[in-house]
Amino acid sequence: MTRDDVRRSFIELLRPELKGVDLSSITDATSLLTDLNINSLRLVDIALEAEDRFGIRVDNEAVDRFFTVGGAVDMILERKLAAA
Amino acid sequence: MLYLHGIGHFHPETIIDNAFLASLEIGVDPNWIEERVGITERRTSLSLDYIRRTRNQDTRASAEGSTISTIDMGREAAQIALRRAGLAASDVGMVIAGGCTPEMLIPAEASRVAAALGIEVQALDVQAACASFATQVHFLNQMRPEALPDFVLIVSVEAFTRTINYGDRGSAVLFGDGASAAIFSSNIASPNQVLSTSFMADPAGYDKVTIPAGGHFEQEGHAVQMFAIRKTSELFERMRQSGNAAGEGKQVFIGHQANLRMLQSVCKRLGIPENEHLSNVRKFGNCGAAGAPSVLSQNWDALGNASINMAVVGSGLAWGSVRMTKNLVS
Repeated sequence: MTRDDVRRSFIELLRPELKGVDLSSITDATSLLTDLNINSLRLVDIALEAEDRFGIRVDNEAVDRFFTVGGAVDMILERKLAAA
Repeated sequence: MLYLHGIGHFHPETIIDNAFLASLEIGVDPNWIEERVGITERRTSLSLDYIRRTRNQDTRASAEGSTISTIDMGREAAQIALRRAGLAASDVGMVIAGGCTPEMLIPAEASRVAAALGIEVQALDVQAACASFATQVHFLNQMRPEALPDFVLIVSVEAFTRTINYGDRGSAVLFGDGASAAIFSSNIASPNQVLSTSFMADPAGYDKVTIPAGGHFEQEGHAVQMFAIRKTSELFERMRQSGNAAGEGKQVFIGHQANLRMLQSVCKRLGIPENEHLSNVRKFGNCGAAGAPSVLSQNWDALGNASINMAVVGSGLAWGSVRMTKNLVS
């Protein structure tokens, strides 16, 4: 999976949270909490859903890397590479 | 074999609702709180005036703002458990207490509860924070029956609001006060049978959730929420795979009452339907170790024949489970 593939798939995972959001406006710097208005506890659900979707393990302490789209995508890629 | 003979709970009368928390001007409004954690009310042993005036900045002074002692809370819960068990306090031969917020570092909370009940018995604390109830039951379940008195009282008294910094919106919205009590026996059978128990810990995570002596509650919120969802899911799933011990009867799941979003996430992951999930966090907040057993107590009379799956998690990090039946053993 390329980084673009992971990014596309991650944004697809976020889609239920993105009602009214212009997907083309999402950048790596987009904050899930402040820009996409995702509840901070919901962020944990998203990290767990990412585990299932990408076949990775997200450490409890690594949830904070899901604060931005780019942070989440990079972490998912790191975990996938480490597992390969 | 371990049997449950009676269970009780108590919550103080004073209510902290979301409008009160919003009035403290800590950057929350009622909708924000409900959307974020799914809690609308909590009970407190402090007066609202004390919280408003001091924000509970000095937890060592919180006793002066208290309207009820923790010991009275524990005694109230114990008396309900005794009544349901059809026992007198004098029938109890051991008291085990323990939770997150003991009023004193020494003596054991169990000694003070036993004294409040007017009984002279073995009294000790077994403490694994919010996982204390399952831990205590697990320890009893591992002990030789002949080493135990006929009836053991397990009690958790939580005065969590005395440890909360009411200038910190992250913790102010979560916690409430309450007490739970349960009477167990390894020697005298009852219709309510403990089928299995478990307890585990990950001490490397000891610093994730803390209340320093004389200090305020603190936690690494996201990491702890993830731990709670993961462990509760694992424990529920393991118990569910054991099957519905009630056969055609009801099967229910009770988790640590951390916040409603955590519990909803677990239920969604495992496909647990709403009518099989029991909770009181919406109206009582997170009451620590007293939370899950108080849910069982509040639903006890309406449960009928049931298979009960309880999973609790907490600081330590620690987690445990109790799987039992109600009204199914004669």
